[in-house]
Amino acid sequence: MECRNIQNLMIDFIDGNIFGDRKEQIEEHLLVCKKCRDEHMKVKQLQDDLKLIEDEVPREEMKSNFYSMLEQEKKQLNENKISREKYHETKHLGRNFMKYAAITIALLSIGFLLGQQMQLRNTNQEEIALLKQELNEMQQNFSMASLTNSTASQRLKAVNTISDQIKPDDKMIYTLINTLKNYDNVNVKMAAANALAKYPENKKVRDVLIESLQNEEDPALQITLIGILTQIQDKRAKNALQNILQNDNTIPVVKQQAEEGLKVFI
Amino acid sequence: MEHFDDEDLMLKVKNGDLDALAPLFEKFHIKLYNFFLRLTRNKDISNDLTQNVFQRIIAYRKSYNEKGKFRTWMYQIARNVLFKHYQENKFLSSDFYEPDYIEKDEKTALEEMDLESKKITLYEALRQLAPEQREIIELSKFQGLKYQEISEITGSSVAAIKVKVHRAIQQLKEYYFELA
Repeated sequence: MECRNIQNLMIDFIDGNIFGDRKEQIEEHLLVCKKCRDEHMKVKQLQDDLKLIEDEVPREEMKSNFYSMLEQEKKQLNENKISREKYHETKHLGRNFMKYAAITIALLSIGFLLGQQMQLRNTNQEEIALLKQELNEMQQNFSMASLTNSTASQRLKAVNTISDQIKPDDKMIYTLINTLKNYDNVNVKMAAANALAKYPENKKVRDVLIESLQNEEDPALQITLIGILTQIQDKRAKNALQNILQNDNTIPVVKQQAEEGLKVFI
Repeated sequence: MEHFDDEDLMLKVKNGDLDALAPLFEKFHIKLYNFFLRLTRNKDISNDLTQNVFQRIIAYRKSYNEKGKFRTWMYQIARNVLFKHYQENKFLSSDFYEPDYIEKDEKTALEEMDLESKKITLYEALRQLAPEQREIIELSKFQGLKYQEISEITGSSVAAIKVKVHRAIQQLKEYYFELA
């Protein structure tokens, strides 16, 4: 080994971190090389002398300072904790509530799953579906009955009930169309028109709406119909709108609406 | 008595049991005090800085990572405290190394020196080192930290630390034998 290598390994050698062949090589080299022997002596001396430097004991006040600091920090931590607890009391309550809610939901879910396992599912759902259907029918029947006779306010209510239902049958649409065509109360007609507006895919509905636009003379109803027809985008409404524009009896507000409606069709 | 290692104790401190810091103080305060004392050569300052370290341990306890060793984390804080101190007292820095009790004798051969003279010479040699070298000697020799630990404290690689320690020892050896 060369002197350079030896000197690089010197500290590890002195610290006892070199073993086996390498250690022997260094030892042999030190026997024959005075330069490296001196170097070894110096580093070893330094390492030994460094051990002479002992830790000094600090003054006693360091301890007392530390413990008074610790007490102060503890006090502060406690105060913070108390104020924080007060501040977050409501939050904790909320958290507890959420915990109980979660437990409740979990229990309910277990119950539901058990119910499913007991194969009550099918009969239950069938029953529910049946009940729903019956309820719908009852509602419809009631609405029809109200529409075909009774007072304006009852009819109005009936029209609104029908329009809330999702799937109307032809019979109901027919009733609505009849109401729009033949009933003489403007409010009921408007409600019927609005209810029909929900079924634009039905051709009969579109026909009766356009027909009404051509025939009706009440401004409020006209404006309602213009709004519905421009939304439905039935091109046949164009003629009806132009007729309204050319009609001298039409009041300006309706004309304006018709004009705007026409823009949509262009 | 139940035995806790440093990390257990620090974890307690982290979770709000500040009393668990007392045994850590008892174990480390002399080491820390001497860390500052050898690097600043000032007892009052070392006193304050040691106190400072424990204050910071409380203040930053939440940032203690229980996977790391407490000792390396503590030395990281100690280094930051010292660095901050240097920054705030730039004008004083020349005083830090004023040996308030070191009086150098006339040069004598090392072999003839008594222990006290050897110590004085060593302090003087350490004083001549660059601050970085003095610190690495402090950590590896006086604080007895392993290369791995110094690497974690300073952020340098283990290999780099090893080279730095070797160079610092070589340099210190030069100064020491020059002065002797």
